[in-house]
Amino acid sequence: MKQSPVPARRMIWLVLGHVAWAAGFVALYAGLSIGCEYGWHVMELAGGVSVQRAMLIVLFLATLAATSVIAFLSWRRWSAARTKTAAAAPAPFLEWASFISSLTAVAAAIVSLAPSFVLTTCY
Amino acid sequence: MNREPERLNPIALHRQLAAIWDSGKGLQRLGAVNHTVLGKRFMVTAFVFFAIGGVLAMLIRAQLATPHSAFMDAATYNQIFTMHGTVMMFLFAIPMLEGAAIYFLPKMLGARDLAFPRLTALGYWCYLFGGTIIIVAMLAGVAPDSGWFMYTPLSSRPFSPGVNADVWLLGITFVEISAVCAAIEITVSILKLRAPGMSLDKMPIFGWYMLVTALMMIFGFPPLILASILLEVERAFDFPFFDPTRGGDSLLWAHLFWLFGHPEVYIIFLPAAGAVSMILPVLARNPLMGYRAIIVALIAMAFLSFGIWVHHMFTLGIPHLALAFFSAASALVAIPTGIQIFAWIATLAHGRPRFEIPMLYIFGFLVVFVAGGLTGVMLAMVPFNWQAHDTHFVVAHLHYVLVGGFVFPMLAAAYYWLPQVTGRLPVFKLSIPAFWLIFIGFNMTFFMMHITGLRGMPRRVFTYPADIGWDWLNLLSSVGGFILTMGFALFVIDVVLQLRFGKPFRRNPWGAGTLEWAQPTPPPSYNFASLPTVDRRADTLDAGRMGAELAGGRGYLGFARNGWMETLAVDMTTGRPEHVVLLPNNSMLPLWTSLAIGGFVLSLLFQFYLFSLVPLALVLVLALSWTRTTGQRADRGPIPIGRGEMAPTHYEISGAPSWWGMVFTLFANGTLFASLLFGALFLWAVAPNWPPPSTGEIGLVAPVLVLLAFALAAGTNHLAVAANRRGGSPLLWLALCAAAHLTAVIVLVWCIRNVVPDPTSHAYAAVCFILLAYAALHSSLGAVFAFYGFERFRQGYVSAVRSLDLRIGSLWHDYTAGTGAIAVILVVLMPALVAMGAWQQ
Ligand code: HEM
Ligand SMILES: [Cu+2]
Repeated sequence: MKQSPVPARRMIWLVLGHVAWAAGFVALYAGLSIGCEYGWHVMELAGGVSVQRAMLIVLFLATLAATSVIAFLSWRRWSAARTKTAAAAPAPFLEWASFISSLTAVAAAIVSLAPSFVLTTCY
Repeated sequence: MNREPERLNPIALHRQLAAIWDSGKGLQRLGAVNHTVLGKRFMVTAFVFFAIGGVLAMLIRAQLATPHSAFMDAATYNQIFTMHGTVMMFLFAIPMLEGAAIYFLPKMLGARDLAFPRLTALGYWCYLFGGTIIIVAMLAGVAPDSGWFMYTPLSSRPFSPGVNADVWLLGITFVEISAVCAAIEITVSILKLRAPGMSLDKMPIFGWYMLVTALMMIFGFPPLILASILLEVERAFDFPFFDPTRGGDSLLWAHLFWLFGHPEVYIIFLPAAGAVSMILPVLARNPLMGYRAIIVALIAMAFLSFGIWVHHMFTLGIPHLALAFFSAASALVAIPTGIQIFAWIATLAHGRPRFEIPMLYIFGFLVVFVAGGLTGVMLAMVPFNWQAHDTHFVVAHLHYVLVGGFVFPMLAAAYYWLPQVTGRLPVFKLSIPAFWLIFIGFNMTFFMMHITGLRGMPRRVFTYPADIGWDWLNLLSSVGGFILTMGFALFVIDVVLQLRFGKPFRRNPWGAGTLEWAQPTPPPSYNFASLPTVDRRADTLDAGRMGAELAGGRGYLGFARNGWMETLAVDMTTGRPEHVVLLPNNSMLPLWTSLAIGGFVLSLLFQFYLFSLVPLALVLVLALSWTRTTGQRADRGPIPIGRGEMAPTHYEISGAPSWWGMVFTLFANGTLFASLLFGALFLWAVAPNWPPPSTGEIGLVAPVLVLLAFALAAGTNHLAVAANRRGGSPLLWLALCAAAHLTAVIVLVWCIRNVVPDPTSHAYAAVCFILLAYAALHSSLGAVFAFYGFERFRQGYVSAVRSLDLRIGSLWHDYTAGTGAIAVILVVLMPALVAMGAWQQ
């Protein structure tokens, strides 16, 4: 059978950014709970920064990086697809929606997870 | 055989198609699988449950109207409010949206039915029987009484010794399984069964709403199904998953419940919003603005709604920073909702709105829902939440969102689509007084609860003292409740009058641009005499012109062939025609199967555990016999589909709907498994009373044996597929595959019996038990799949081209090997994890 010009797997890009956000979200929540259980928040790493805080910041930055990379890649795909004609439907739409969707994932990562930098962690 | 059947005149074509697709008369109705019939049954049944839930609400309001009311005692009140919440959420809202989707999706997408018609019927019967069990239990005075979220330990055996909680756990799980079936079917149907040319960006917006909703159900319901199974096992066999004295944790229940529970409210809201997005543009005489922005908003909303389950648990002692994560995400989720509201306003502002009846109800929706959204953002703020938690303020909020976000849009939808369903236009205008009674009654009932809540009135109390400032507010609220009820009664009368005296019309009274109006009304069982081609956004079509053309057979599949029920499947993204789907015909099997499942549920309820194996075996036998009428014994090659084009049947291609159905089934199953892993690690990390008294010595021999057996099972099936593709016989490989599975099952059962410590002693042992049992169950079903492939090949249903049965099996074997390996490895590692537990320090 003929291959589809827009394979179904491209739809995954619609959700990829948010999957990364969700993975980061769960990782941070799990890391935080385990850290509180093990007392990492009272273990100083260096310069007044606790092990807990360092771990949370690393996880946060990793989530931010992952969502941003996905947003960047989908931006590139969209730039390539936007010039195509309507006959290529739904490729231009799909790439645009994927790009915007991954941008919202970056925003969600910043707003929901940035409290890692400041708030007290366990109590 | 491969010539296109000749073109008939519209009447003859109608007769022939109706003969194939109609559901039959008399008792044959019980075997109906048609989506139009079942969609209506779902909606009518859901409305009956809404009425039951409404009567319960009236009882609640009667009790709370005055202080020290002697109408009900505390125990009865507990049953009543639990049943009210449960009936409204699980037996009204979810089935109602499923029914609407089942009825409308094929019509809007330009298909003749959903992808798995018999599954629709099975889902309906499971829903009906599950719901009936719960209602009968209520009439017998043993209704669930631990609140609609069934928190442990209240719902555990020591505090709920009666059968009440079991009714909830078993009955609701029964209904949930039906909901997951519907979700899988809806997902596959939207992705595959659309009109040719309807690429993703041309799909009517309701299709997008339902796609997102159905996927949310596939990922959202399994955590609750797992939690219910675990709690039922705890209640029945004393496995202490939620018992803190033996290493369990009631917090685990709260997590698993709300992991389902929050997405659930979006699952209820989105289809209703989807209906608004279909109706409002038509009445505004302006195509929906911001179509693409809405789609992105839906995706964002779907994910965010999973990331905020803990906002129901702000007072349960969660680490401080986590509260911030969940609070921020909860506030964020309002943004995509806002985007939709702005899109609607823009559509109205740029159009020439007609103030018809549905518009009135949409106005009610906007006012009430936005108010509920605002109190929602208030409750998302942790400090406020701590004040308002468990008060009537929350009851007010949840009804503003649920009634505003679901009931009002559904009423609008009823007035908009009833002509489509019945073929009649209303003649009386009872809808207007009905609206005002509902709108005023609703606000009177629930606005007061904000105030009683802020004045400290807790929810779920059966009475309250006089003279602390709650009396007149509660009285007003109850009066409002009865006004509201009168409004609904008027609505029912209005609908009956429309059915009885409505005046017939030709086509498309609203001037809509979607395909469900390009059909005759009421719609025939086959929907479209021939399938449309879509070349623009499918809400801007000329329904009138298309309707005539399609009825004349000038689209795809405009003929009746071999008595087959045919519809077209398209490429998921571009919407190019891909293959012909041959749908199964009317059958009693769904009814028998659901009766057997019901028998299983009832035997568990009455604690006939050994006997329950009988209906269970029956379920398996019946499930296997579903396939007797499907499949084809010879390669057919491409057949004509009309318009001079050819396409193969679904048996002869790689991505048939049933293959995708299995993929999404495994997504749901995988979510259940992931929830189980989460539970295991959660108990290890957080639960009190760890370490366990003993961890058992599983050693390495048995686990390695199981892992090898899993690898062998998955590997041999791939070899079977490969041998079949080359034209050889897969039988030897399939036999080996079954043997490998059986070996795995035997070793796993041996481990469960001999290595795992007594599962009632500690949650650790209970978790190991369940993990291994999960693997064993999947492996035994794997053996069934291998055996099934074996038989299908022997009977000639499988060939190099027709390999669907084997490839569906492959998905199962790979899944079983993957999850089974994870389960076994986790059990092997558990003792090491226990050794490094935080409590050791
Ligand atoms: C028809 C008008 C309705 C009225 C007058 C009403 C009234 C009430 C009242 C007074 C309560 C609080 C009981 C208590 O905490 O003591 C309640 C709880 C609840 N209602 Fe409604 N309700 C109505 C419709 C609905 C609808 C349409 C839904 C859902 C779609 C719904 C879902 C719930 C839920 C989930 C609860 C919580 C039950 C619990 O605490 O376990 N209600 N309702
Ligand atoms: Cu919520």
